[in-house]
Amino acid sequence: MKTKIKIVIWLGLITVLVLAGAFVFDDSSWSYVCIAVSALCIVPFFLSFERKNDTTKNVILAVLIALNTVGRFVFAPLPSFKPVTAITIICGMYMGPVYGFMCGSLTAVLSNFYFGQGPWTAFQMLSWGLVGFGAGLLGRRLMNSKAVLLIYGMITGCLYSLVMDIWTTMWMENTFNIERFMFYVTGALPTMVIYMVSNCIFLFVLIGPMRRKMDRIFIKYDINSDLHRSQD
Amino acid sequence: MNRKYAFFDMHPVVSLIYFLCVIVSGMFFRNIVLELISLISAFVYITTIFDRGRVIKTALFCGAVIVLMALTNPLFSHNGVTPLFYMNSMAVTLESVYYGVSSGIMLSAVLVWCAVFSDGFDFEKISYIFGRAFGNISVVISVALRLIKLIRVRSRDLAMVDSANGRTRLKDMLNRFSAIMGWSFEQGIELSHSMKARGYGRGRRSFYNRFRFGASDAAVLTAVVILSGATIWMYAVGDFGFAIYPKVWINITDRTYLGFILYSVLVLIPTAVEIRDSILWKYYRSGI
Repeated sequence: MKTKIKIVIWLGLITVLVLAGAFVFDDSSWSYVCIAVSALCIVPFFLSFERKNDTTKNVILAVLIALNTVGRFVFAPLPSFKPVTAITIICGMYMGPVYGFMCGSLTAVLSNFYFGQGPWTAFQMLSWGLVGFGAGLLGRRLMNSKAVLLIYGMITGCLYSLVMDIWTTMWMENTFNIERFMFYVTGALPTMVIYMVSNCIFLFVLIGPMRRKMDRIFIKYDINSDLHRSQD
Repeated sequence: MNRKYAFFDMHPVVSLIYFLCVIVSGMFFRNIVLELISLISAFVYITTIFDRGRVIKTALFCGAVIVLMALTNPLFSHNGVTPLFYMNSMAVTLESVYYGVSSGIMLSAVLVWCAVFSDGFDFEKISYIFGRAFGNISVVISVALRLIKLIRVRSRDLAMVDSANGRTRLKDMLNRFSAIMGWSFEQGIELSHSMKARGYGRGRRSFYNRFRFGASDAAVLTAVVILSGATIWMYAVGDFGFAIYPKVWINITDRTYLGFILYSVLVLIPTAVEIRDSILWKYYRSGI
């Protein structure tokens, strides 16, 4: 319940920022407002992660981030066919919303050390992070049914693509032009389909082995996880 | 990531502030001359630090961005007073092509500066600046950076073993992934135990860094602050007035020329540092 209240407050903050951007600046500075808003959205998640003090979970998070980054390397020849979203979803599902967010956003930062940082990093951090955050909120439901998990994977693939298209539009045009947005969306339609399909494939293939390994680690070393506590 | 650039050997605060100024001003200043100055000096700088192949690749990429923007902008924007021809009863104007070129120059300049920044500003510097506020995160990132190398080495080893045994199907790849995951998790747990045994997470963390703020850092930082402050002030006052719609218009006064010179000096600072460094290097080496 507490997390839900926090989310509402954050969403309110974002709205205020967007409105301020619309009225205080002229409309030619949308992409900067956009970068600033996404950076400011990330900070509360980071701060709430800083308050946690669980070395073991931090290290497991680091392992998942490293696996994600290596996954991006291994599948580098296939554009947009990446396991990142799938592993982020599984991380959020097991370790809770905040860890899911950190897994997604830090993967964006770390893998962009190799693939190139840019103004888009903030946007990627936010959108991947929110994928993990949502998975954390839905944790038990995703855990119980594979169908829900796959549908969640498809929806997030679609949303991720749309959000990155918004970014492209703002960055190229500096304002939000709906014609241009539709142009990019139709242009990126194959990418969106690849995102959705690859999320499904990776979730379908990875969920078995990852569940076995995560369950084993969490039970063996008695790590706090919402999922396992309620199972006992 | 680990190459040594003279400009990035300065104190991290200096290079961070410098690149923030250059990237933000590059995004905000809509004036064709300033955009060109930024793009050209970005290229002058990368010729001193990148190898030739990378410079050519970057140049081709920037050219592609500019051409793409020049071609697509008229499709969406019908402002401007000089129609070139009509398409679907909408005018394709010369001004919208100019606008596309100008945005293309702006975008490619910012992208080149970002590429330079992400190349030189490595994680050590990031964690020096943000480590105190975000201690947990910088530990997670440094553990992950170490594990990335480890996982890559291990997956290569396992792939070699598997291919020697003729296990090259997709299912074997999945098995390998599973093995690596289990292996890394166990290693992670061991790592966290040893961190705890050494007292991690109890009390305040201390930080090690090798950065010292010297006289040359202070000089460069002052120059950056004064130059960018002056150009931003001139931009706000309107000395760099520039508009494309509805008609190309540029405001040129005596102060504008001064502003162009100041901005050129600002964006050429890293090149100057780089050249000074290579001259010093040659000078000292000839003295040996």
